[in-house]
Amino acid sequence: MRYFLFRLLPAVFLIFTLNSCYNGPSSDEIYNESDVILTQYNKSYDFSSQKYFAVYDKIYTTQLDAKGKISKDSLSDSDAKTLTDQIVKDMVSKGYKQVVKDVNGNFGYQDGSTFVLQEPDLGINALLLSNVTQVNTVVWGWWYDWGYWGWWDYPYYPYYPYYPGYVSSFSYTVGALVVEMFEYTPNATSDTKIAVSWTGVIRGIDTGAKSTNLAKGVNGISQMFTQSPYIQSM
Amino acid sequence: MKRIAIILMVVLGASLSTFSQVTEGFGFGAVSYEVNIPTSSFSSNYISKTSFYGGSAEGRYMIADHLSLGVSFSWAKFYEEIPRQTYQLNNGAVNATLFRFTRSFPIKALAHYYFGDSENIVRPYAGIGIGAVNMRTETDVSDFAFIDNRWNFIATPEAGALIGFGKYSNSGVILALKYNFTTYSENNISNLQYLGIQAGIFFGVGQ
Repeated sequence: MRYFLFRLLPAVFLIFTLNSCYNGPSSDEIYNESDVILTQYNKSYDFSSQKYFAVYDKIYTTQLDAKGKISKDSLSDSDAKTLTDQIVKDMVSKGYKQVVKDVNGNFGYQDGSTFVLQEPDLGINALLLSNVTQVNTVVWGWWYDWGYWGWWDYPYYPYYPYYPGYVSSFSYTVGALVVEMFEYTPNATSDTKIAVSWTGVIRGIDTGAKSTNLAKGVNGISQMFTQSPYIQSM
Repeated sequence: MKRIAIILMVVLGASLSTFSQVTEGFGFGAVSYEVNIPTSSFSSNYISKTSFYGGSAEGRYMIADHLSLGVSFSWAKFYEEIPRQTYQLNNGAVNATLFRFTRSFPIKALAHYYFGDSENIVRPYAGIGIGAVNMRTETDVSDFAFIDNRWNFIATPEAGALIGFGKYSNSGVILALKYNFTTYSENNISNLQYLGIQAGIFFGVGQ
Protein backbone atom coordinates (compact mmCIF):
# COMPACT_ATOMS: atom_id res chain seq x y z
CA MET A 1 0.00 0.00 0.00
CA ARG A 2 2.88 2.28 0.88
CA TYR A 3 4.45 1.68 -2.52
CA PHE A 4 1.13 2.17 -4.17
CA LEU A 5 0.74 5.67 -2.73
CA PHE A 6 4.37 6.46 -3.38
CA ARG A 7 3.84 5.77 -7.05
CA LEU A 8 0.43 7.33 -7.32
CA LEU A 9 1.10 10.72 -5.76
CA PRO A 10 3.54 12.15 -8.34
CA ALA A 11 1.30 11.08 -11.17
CA VAL A 12 -1.71 12.73 -9.54
CA PHE A 13 0.39 15.83 -8.97
CA LEU A 14 1.40 15.83 -12.63
CA ILE A 15 -2.19 15.62 -13.81
CA PHE A 16 -3.32 18.44 -11.57
CA THR A 17 -0.44 20.57 -12.80
CA LEU A 18 -1.35 19.97 -16.41
CA ASN A 19 -5.02 20.57 -15.68
CA SER A 20 -4.24 23.90 -14.11
CA CYS A 21 -3.35 25.10 -17.60
CA TYR A 22 -7.08 25.36 -18.25
CA ASN A 23 -7.64 28.57 -20.16
CA GLY A 24 -11.27 29.42 -19.66
CA PRO A 25 -12.44 33.02 -19.80
CA SER A 26 -11.63 35.36 -16.94
CA SER A 27 -14.48 37.28 -15.35
CA ASP A 28 -13.03 40.45 -16.92
CA GLU A 29 -13.22 38.89 -20.36
CA ILE A 30 -16.83 37.88 -19.83
CA TYR A 31 -17.64 41.34 -18.51
CA ASN A 32 -16.11 43.12 -21.48
CA GLU A 33 -17.98 40.87 -23.86
CA SER A 34 -21.18 40.81 -21.85
CA ASP A 35 -23.14 43.41 -23.76
CA VAL A 36 -25.79 42.19 -26.11
CA ILE A 37 -27.23 44.41 -28.82
CA LEU A 38 -30.80 43.59 -29.67
CA THR A 39 -32.89 45.27 -32.36
CA GLN A 40 -36.51 44.63 -33.22
CA TYR A 41 -38.74 46.34 -35.73
CA ASN A 42 -42.19 46.46 -37.25
CA LYS A 43 -41.83 44.57 -40.52
CA SER A 44 -44.76 46.33 -42.16
CA TYR A 45 -43.39 49.81 -41.49
CA ASP A 46 -41.93 51.57 -44.51
CA PHE A 47 -38.63 53.05 -43.34
CA SER A 48 -37.47 53.91 -46.84
CA SER A 49 -40.12 56.56 -47.59
CA GLN A 50 -39.28 58.63 -44.49
CA LYS A 51 -36.89 61.54 -44.74
CA TYR A 52 -36.70 63.75 -41.63
CA PHE A 53 -35.92 62.74 -38.08
CA ALA A 54 -35.50 64.41 -34.71
CA VAL A 55 -33.70 63.11 -31.62
CA TYR A 56 -34.76 64.13 -28.13
CA ASP A 57 -31.54 65.46 -26.62
CA LYS A 58 -32.31 64.45 -23.04
CA ILE A 59 -31.58 60.89 -21.87
CA TYR A 60 -33.43 59.88 -18.74
CA THR A 61 -31.99 57.30 -16.42
CA THR A 62 -34.12 55.18 -14.19
CA GLN A 63 -33.59 53.00 -11.20
CA LEU A 64 -35.71 50.29 -9.75
CA ASP A 65 -35.43 49.90 -6.00
CA ALA A 66 -35.92 46.63 -4.14
CA LYS A 67 -39.67 47.21 -4.02
CA GLY A 68 -39.80 47.69 -7.78
CA LYS A 69 -40.41 51.41 -7.46
CA ILE A 70 -39.06 53.55 -10.27
CA SER A 71 -37.08 56.71 -9.70
CA LYS A 72 -35.97 59.04 -12.46
CA ASP A 73 -32.84 61.06 -13.18
CA SER A 74 -31.06 62.10 -16.35
CA LEU A 75 -27.63 61.86 -17.91
CA SER A 76 -25.45 64.99 -17.97
CA ASP A 77 -25.91 67.06 -21.13
CA SER A 78 -22.43 66.18 -22.39
CA ASP A 79 -22.91 62.42 -21.88
CA ALA A 80 -26.32 62.57 -23.51
CA LYS A 81 -24.82 64.49 -26.42
CA THR A 82 -22.10 61.86 -26.91
CA LEU A 83 -24.79 59.22 -27.34
CA THR A 84 -27.33 61.22 -29.35
CA ASP A 85 -24.56 62.46 -31.66
CA GLN A 86 -23.90 58.83 -32.59
CA ILE A 87 -27.62 58.30 -33.33
CA VAL A 88 -27.59 61.38 -35.57
CA LYS A 89 -24.41 60.25 -37.31
CA ASP A 90 -25.87 56.82 -38.08
CA MET A 91 -29.21 58.21 -39.26
CA VAL A 92 -27.48 60.70 -41.55
CA SER A 93 -25.29 57.95 -43.00
CA LYS A 94 -28.49 56.10 -43.86
CA GLY A 95 -29.80 58.99 -45.88
CA TYR A 96 -32.07 60.75 -43.37
CA LYS A 97 -31.97 64.46 -42.57
CA GLN A 98 -32.01 65.80 -39.05
CA VAL A 99 -34.45 68.46 -37.91
CA VAL A 100 -34.03 70.34 -34.64
CA LYS A 101 -36.11 72.76 -32.62
CA ASP A 102 -35.49 76.46 -32.92
CA VAL A 103 -35.89 78.96 -30.06
CA ASN A 104 -39.62 79.18 -30.76
CA GLY A 105 -40.01 75.41 -30.40
CA ASN A 106 -40.58 74.80 -34.09
CA PHE A 107 -39.02 71.86 -35.90
CA GLY A 108 -36.86 72.63 -38.89
CA TYR A 109 -33.37 72.69 -40.30
CA GLN A 110 -30.86 75.37 -41.10
CA ASP A 111 -30.34 76.08 -44.78
CA GLY A 112 -27.69 78.75 -45.12
CA SER A 113 -28.98 81.67 -43.11
CA THR A 114 -32.63 80.61 -43.14
CA PHE A 115 -34.34 78.18 -40.81
CA VAL A 116 -36.63 75.99 -42.92
CA LEU A 117 -39.63 74.75 -40.98
CA GLN A 118 -40.02 71.02 -41.30
CA GLU A 119 -41.69 68.50 -39.05
CA PRO A 120 -39.92 65.17 -38.56
CA ASP A 121 -41.23 61.90 -39.96
CA LEU A 122 -39.44 59.96 -37.27
CA GLY A 123 -38.86 60.72 -33.62
CA ILE A 124 -36.10 59.05 -31.62
CA ASN A 125 -35.87 58.72 -27.83
CA ALA A 126 -33.15 57.13 -25.74
CA LEU A 127 -33.36 55.97 -22.14
CA LEU A 128 -30.92 54.37 -19.74
CA LEU A 129 -32.20 51.75 -17.33
CA SER A 130 -29.59 51.51 -14.61
CA ASN A 131 -28.87 49.80 -11.33
CA VAL A 132 -31.70 47.40 -11.69
CA THR A 133 -31.47 45.47 -8.46
CA GLN A 134 -33.76 42.59 -9.15
CA VAL A 135 -35.02 40.55 -12.03
CA ASN A 136 -37.90 42.49 -13.46
CA THR A 137 -40.01 42.02 -16.46
CA VAL A 138 -40.53 45.48 -17.78
CA VAL A 139 -43.34 46.04 -20.19
CA TRP A 140 -42.28 48.28 -23.02
CA GLY A 141 -43.55 51.78 -22.79
CA TRP A 142 -43.89 51.90 -19.00
CA TRP A 143 -41.58 54.90 -18.91
CA TYR A 144 -43.74 57.04 -21.15
CA ASP A 145 -45.90 58.33 -18.35
CA TRP A 146 -43.57 61.11 -17.27
CA GLY A 147 -44.48 63.83 -19.67
CA TYR A 148 -41.73 62.54 -21.93
CA TRP A 149 -43.92 63.57 -24.78
CA GLY A 150 -44.04 67.23 -23.91
CA TRP A 151 -40.97 67.85 -25.99
CA TRP A 152 -42.69 66.26 -28.94
CA ASP A 153 -45.57 68.75 -28.71
CA TYR A 154 -48.01 66.19 -27.40
CA PRO A 155 -49.38 68.43 -24.69
CA TYR A 156 -51.56 66.14 -22.69
CA TYR A 157 -51.66 62.63 -21.29
CA PRO A 158 -52.26 59.94 -22.31
CA TYR A 159 -50.15 59.42 -25.31
CA TYR A 160 -48.49 56.10 -25.14
CA PRO A 161 -46.53 53.99 -27.52
CA TYR A 162 -47.45 50.63 -28.87
CA TYR A 163 -45.42 48.04 -30.68
CA PRO A 164 -47.38 46.63 -33.60
CA GLY A 165 -47.02 42.95 -32.90
CA TYR A 166 -43.30 42.69 -32.56
CA VAL A 167 -42.26 43.31 -28.96
CA SER A 168 -43.98 42.36 -25.74
CA SER A 169 -41.63 42.40 -22.80
CA PHE A 170 -38.01 42.18 -21.84
CA SER A 171 -36.34 41.21 -18.63
CA TYR A 172 -33.48 43.30 -17.29
CA THR A 173 -31.03 42.12 -14.71
CA VAL A 174 -28.33 44.56 -15.74
CA GLY A 175 -28.41 48.07 -17.13
CA ALA A 176 -29.67 48.72 -20.61
CA LEU A 177 -29.68 51.59 -23.04
CA VAL A 178 -32.93 51.65 -24.97
CA VAL A 179 -33.31 53.59 -28.24
CA GLU A 180 -36.74 53.83 -29.83
CA MET A 181 -37.83 55.19 -33.16
CA PHE A 182 -41.48 56.09 -33.61
CA GLU A 183 -43.74 57.64 -36.16
CA TYR A 184 -44.02 61.36 -35.45
CA THR A 185 -47.73 61.99 -35.19
CA PRO A 186 -48.72 65.67 -35.21
CA ASN A 187 -52.23 66.75 -34.36
CA ALA A 188 -52.64 63.79 -32.05
CA THR A 189 -55.83 63.48 -30.09
CA SER A 190 -56.21 61.90 -26.67
CA ASP A 191 -56.95 58.57 -28.36
CA THR A 192 -53.75 58.56 -30.37
CA LYS A 193 -51.28 55.80 -29.79
CA ILE A 194 -47.73 56.34 -30.96
CA ALA A 195 -46.52 53.46 -33.10
CA VAL A 196 -42.95 52.51 -32.25
CA SER A 197 -41.37 51.20 -35.43
CA TRP A 198 -37.98 50.21 -34.17
CA THR A 199 -36.37 49.42 -30.85
CA GLY A 200 -32.70 48.95 -30.08
CA VAL A 201 -31.33 47.75 -26.75
CA ILE A 202 -27.77 47.55 -25.47
CA ARG A 203 -28.02 45.16 -22.61
CA GLY A 204 -25.21 45.07 -20.04
CA ILE A 205 -24.17 48.68 -20.35
CA ASP A 206 -24.35 49.78 -16.75
CA THR A 207 -21.99 47.39 -15.03
CA GLY A 208 -18.69 49.23 -15.34
CA ALA A 209 -16.93 52.57 -15.23
CA LYS A 210 -18.63 55.59 -16.78
CA SER A 211 -16.09 56.01 -19.58
CA THR A 212 -16.43 52.33 -20.50
CA ASN A 213 -20.19 52.69 -20.52
CA LEU A 214 -20.09 55.69 -22.83
CA ALA A 215 -17.77 53.83 -25.22
CA LYS A 216 -20.03 50.78 -25.09
CA GLY A 217 -23.01 53.05 -25.72
CA VAL A 218 -21.44 54.68 -28.78
CA ASN A 219 -20.26 51.36 -30.24
CA GLY A 220 -23.57 49.72 -29.38
CA ILE A 221 -25.64 52.41 -31.08
CA SER A 222 -23.49 52.06 -34.18
CA GLN A 223 -24.01 48.28 -34.10
CA MET A 224 -27.80 48.76 -33.73
CA PHE A 225 -27.90 50.58 -37.05
CA THR A 226 -25.43 48.23 -38.72
CA GLN A 227 -27.64 45.23 -37.96
CA SER A 228 -30.76 47.09 -39.16
CA PRO A 229 -30.19 47.44 -42.92
CA TYR A 230 -33.91 48.10 -43.53
CA ILE A 231 -33.45 51.56 -41.96
CA GLN A 232 -32.48 53.33 -45.15
CA SER A 233 -34.03 56.42 -46.68
CA MET A 234 -34.56 56.38 -50.44
CA MET B 1 21.75 7.32 -19.45
CA LYS B 2 20.66 4.44 -17.26
CA ARG B 3 21.33 6.52 -14.17
CA ILE B 4 19.11 9.27 -15.54
CA ALA B 5 16.44 6.70 -16.22
CA ILE B 6 16.65 5.43 -12.66
CA ILE B 7 16.47 8.96 -11.25
CA LEU B 8 13.49 9.62 -13.48
CA MET B 9 11.75 6.52 -12.20
CA VAL B 10 12.37 7.51 -8.61
CA VAL B 11 11.10 10.99 -9.32
CA LEU B 12 8.01 9.59 -10.90
CA GLY B 13 7.58 7.34 -7.92
CA ALA B 14 8.09 4.15 -9.78
CA SER B 15 10.34 1.77 -7.95
CA LEU B 16 12.16 -0.97 -9.75
CA SER B 17 10.52 -4.24 -9.08
CA THR B 18 11.42 -7.82 -9.80
CA PHE B 19 7.88 -9.03 -10.27
CA SER B 20 6.75 -10.13 -13.66
CA GLN B 21 4.49 -7.83 -15.58
CA VAL B 22 1.14 -7.88 -17.21
CA THR B 23 -0.05 -11.43 -16.84
CA GLU B 24 -2.93 -13.36 -15.24
CA GLY B 25 -3.56 -12.31 -11.67
CA PHE B 26 -1.88 -8.95 -12.11
CA GLY B 27 -3.81 -5.89 -11.06
CA PHE B 28 -2.84 -2.37 -11.86
CA GLY B 29 -4.06 1.14 -11.61
CA ALA B 30 -3.35 4.08 -13.87
CA VAL B 31 -3.71 7.83 -13.63
CA SER B 32 -3.46 9.81 -16.84
CA TYR B 33 -3.59 13.20 -18.38
CA GLU B 34 -5.88 13.46 -21.38
CA VAL B 35 -6.14 15.84 -24.30
CA ASN B 36 -9.52 15.72 -26.03
CA ILE B 37 -10.40 16.83 -29.55
CA PRO B 38 -14.05 17.48 -30.43
CA THR B 39 -15.20 15.71 -33.59
CA SER B 40 -18.35 15.35 -35.67
CA SER B 41 -21.25 17.73 -34.91
CA PHE B 42 -19.80 18.58 -31.48
CA SER B 43 -16.92 20.23 -33.33
CA SER B 44 -18.90 21.76 -36.18
CA ASN B 45 -21.92 23.01 -34.20
CA TYR B 46 -20.78 23.70 -30.67
CA ILE B 47 -17.11 23.63 -29.61
CA SER B 48 -14.23 23.03 -31.98
CA LYS B 49 -11.37 23.90 -29.66
CA THR B 50 -9.18 21.09 -28.31
CA SER B 51 -9.45 20.58 -24.56
CA PHE B 52 -6.24 20.40 -22.51
CA TYR B 53 -8.26 19.94 -19.38
CA GLY B 54 -8.85 16.25 -18.85
CA GLY B 55 -7.70 13.18 -17.07
CA SER B 56 -8.61 9.70 -15.96
CA ALA B 57 -8.12 7.19 -13.19
CA GLU B 58 -8.66 3.51 -13.82
CA GLY B 59 -8.06 0.08 -12.40
CA ARG B 60 -7.65 -3.15 -14.37
CA TYR B 61 -7.31 -6.78 -13.36
CA MET B 62 -5.91 -9.50 -15.64
CA ILE B 63 -8.37 -12.38 -15.75
CA ALA B 64 -6.16 -14.17 -18.28
CA ASP B 65 -2.72 -13.59 -19.76
CA HIS B 66 -4.16 -11.43 -22.51
CA LEU B 67 -7.39 -10.15 -21.04
CA SER B 68 -8.28 -7.58 -18.37
CA LEU B 69 -11.47 -6.18 -16.89
CA GLY B 70 -11.66 -2.85 -15.11
CA VAL B 71 -13.35 0.41 -14.30
CA SER B 72 -12.46 3.97 -15.16
CA PHE B 73 -13.44 7.48 -14.15
CA SER B 74 -12.49 10.35 -16.39
CA TRP B 75 -13.25 13.98 -17.04
CA ALA B 76 -12.86 16.49 -19.82
CA LYS B 77 -13.71 20.16 -19.91
CA PHE B 78 -14.18 22.00 -23.19
CA TYR B 79 -14.49 25.71 -23.69
CA GLU B 80 -14.79 28.05 -26.64
CA GLU B 81 -15.59 31.71 -27.06
CA ILE B 82 -17.66 32.38 -30.17
CA PRO B 83 -16.57 35.85 -31.32
CA ARG B 84 -19.13 38.62 -31.41
CA GLN B 85 -21.49 38.21 -34.33
CA THR B 86 -25.03 39.03 -35.39
CA TYR B 87 -27.81 36.46 -35.29
CA GLN B 88 -30.99 37.17 -37.27
CA LEU B 89 -34.36 37.01 -35.52
CA ASN B 90 -37.79 37.02 -37.07
CA ASN B 91 -38.34 40.73 -36.34
CA GLY B 92 -34.79 41.89 -35.80
CA ALA B 93 -31.32 40.80 -34.84
CA VAL B 94 -29.07 40.12 -31.85
CA ASN B 95 -25.38 40.89 -31.70
CA ALA B 96 -23.45 39.10 -28.96
CA THR B 97 -20.46 37.05 -27.90
CA LEU B 98 -21.21 33.49 -26.82
CA PHE B 99 -19.25 31.49 -24.29
CA ARG B 100 -19.70 27.74 -24.55
CA PHE B 101 -18.64 25.13 -22.03
CA THR B 102 -18.94 21.36 -21.97
CA ARG B 103 -17.97 19.09 -19.12
CA SER B 104 -17.93 15.37 -19.67
CA PHE B 105 -17.67 12.92 -16.77
CA PRO B 106 -17.78 9.26 -17.88
CA ILE B 107 -17.85 6.23 -15.60
CA LYS B 108 -17.10 3.05 -17.56
CA ALA B 109 -16.56 -0.67 -17.30
CA LEU B 110 -13.48 -1.72 -19.27
CA ALA B 111 -12.37 -4.79 -21.19
CA HIS B 112 -8.96 -5.01 -22.88
CA TYR B 113 -7.04 -7.51 -24.92
CA TYR B 114 -3.21 -7.44 -24.81
CA PHE B 115 -1.01 -8.42 -27.71
CA GLY B 116 2.40 -10.05 -27.54
CA ASP B 117 4.29 -11.92 -24.88
CA SER B 118 3.74 -10.98 -21.23
CA GLU B 119 7.54 -10.64 -20.85
CA ASN B 120 7.63 -7.83 -23.38
CA ILE B 121 8.32 -4.35 -22.08
CA VAL B 122 5.82 -2.91 -24.54
CA ARG B 123 2.33 -4.43 -24.42
CA PRO B 124 -0.01 -3.03 -27.06
CA TYR B 125 -3.67 -3.45 -26.32
CA ALA B 126 -7.10 -2.75 -27.71
CA GLY B 127 -10.35 -2.58 -25.83
CA ILE B 128 -13.57 -0.83 -25.07
CA GLY B 129 -15.13 1.10 -22.23
CA ILE B 130 -18.88 1.15 -21.84
CA GLY B 131 -20.88 3.07 -19.29
CA ALA B 132 -22.65 6.26 -18.32
CA VAL B 133 -21.56 9.83 -18.88
CA ASN B 134 -22.71 12.91 -17.05
CA MET B 135 -22.67 15.65 -19.65
CA ARG B 136 -23.12 19.31 -18.84
CA THR B 137 -23.23 22.03 -21.47
CA GLU B 138 -23.48 25.73 -20.75
CA THR B 139 -23.92 28.64 -23.14
CA ASP B 140 -23.39 32.09 -21.64
CA VAL B 141 -24.68 35.26 -23.26
CA SER B 142 -24.23 38.38 -21.19
CA ASP B 143 -25.47 37.29 -17.77
CA PHE B 144 -27.78 34.63 -19.17
CA ALA B 145 -26.61 31.05 -18.77
CA PHE B 146 -28.34 28.26 -20.65
CA ILE B 147 -27.38 25.06 -18.86
CA ASP B 148 -28.15 21.48 -19.79
CA ASN B 149 -27.10 18.62 -17.56
CA ARG B 150 -27.96 14.96 -18.15
CA TRP B 151 -26.79 11.37 -18.10
CA ASN B 152 -26.18 9.52 -21.32
CA PHE B 153 -24.68 6.32 -22.62
CA ILE B 154 -21.01 6.27 -23.61
CA ALA B 155 -18.92 3.74 -25.54
CA THR B 156 -15.19 4.26 -25.93
CA PRO B 157 -13.17 2.01 -28.20
CA GLU B 158 -9.50 2.48 -27.47
CA ALA B 159 -6.07 1.31 -28.52
CA GLY B 160 -2.84 1.84 -26.64
CA ALA B 161 0.20 0.35 -25.02
CA LEU B 162 1.67 -0.31 -21.61
CA ILE B 163 5.40 0.44 -21.59
CA GLY B 164 7.20 -0.93 -18.53
CA PHE B 165 9.95 1.06 -16.86
CA GLY B 166 12.13 -2.04 -17.20
CA LYS B 167 11.97 -5.66 -18.15
CA TYR B 168 10.96 -6.71 -14.63
CA SER B 169 9.08 -3.60 -13.60
CA ASN B 170 5.40 -3.72 -12.83
CA SER B 171 5.06 0.03 -13.39
CA GLY B 172 5.39 2.11 -16.46
CA VAL B 173 3.86 4.49 -18.90
CA ILE B 174 0.44 4.09 -20.47
CA LEU B 175 -0.34 5.69 -23.82
CA ALA B 176 -3.64 5.40 -25.69
CA LEU B 177 -6.04 6.83 -28.21
CA LYS B 178 -9.72 6.71 -27.26
CA TYR B 179 -12.75 7.53 -29.30
CA ASN B 180 -15.58 8.70 -27.05
CA PHE B 181 -19.03 8.15 -28.49
CA THR B 182 -21.94 9.41 -26.41
CA THR B 183 -25.68 9.62 -26.98
CA TYR B 184 -25.82 13.27 -25.86
CA SER B 185 -27.81 15.17 -28.49
CA GLU B 186 -28.67 18.74 -27.48
CA ASN B 187 -27.60 22.20 -28.72
CA ASN B 188 -27.50 21.02 -32.36
CA ILE B 189 -25.09 18.27 -31.39
CA SER B 190 -26.05 14.79 -32.45
CA ASN B 191 -24.29 12.05 -30.47
CA LEU B 192 -21.54 14.14 -28.94
CA GLN B 193 -18.13 12.64 -29.79
CA TYR B 194 -14.50 13.42 -29.11
CA LEU B 195 -11.11 11.84 -29.61
CA GLY B 196 -8.96 11.48 -26.51
CA ILE B 197 -5.20 11.17 -26.28
CA GLN B 198 -4.14 9.57 -23.02
CA ALA B 199 -0.70 9.65 -21.39
CA GLY B 200 -0.15 8.45 -17.86
CA ILE B 201 1.51 6.18 -15.36
CA PHE B 202 0.43 2.64 -14.50
CA PHE B 203 1.50 0.83 -11.37
CA GLY B 204 1.05 -2.72 -10.17
CA VAL B 205 -1.10 -3.27 -7.13
CA GLY B 206 -1.12 -6.14 -4.67
CA GLN B 207 1.88 -8.14 -5.77
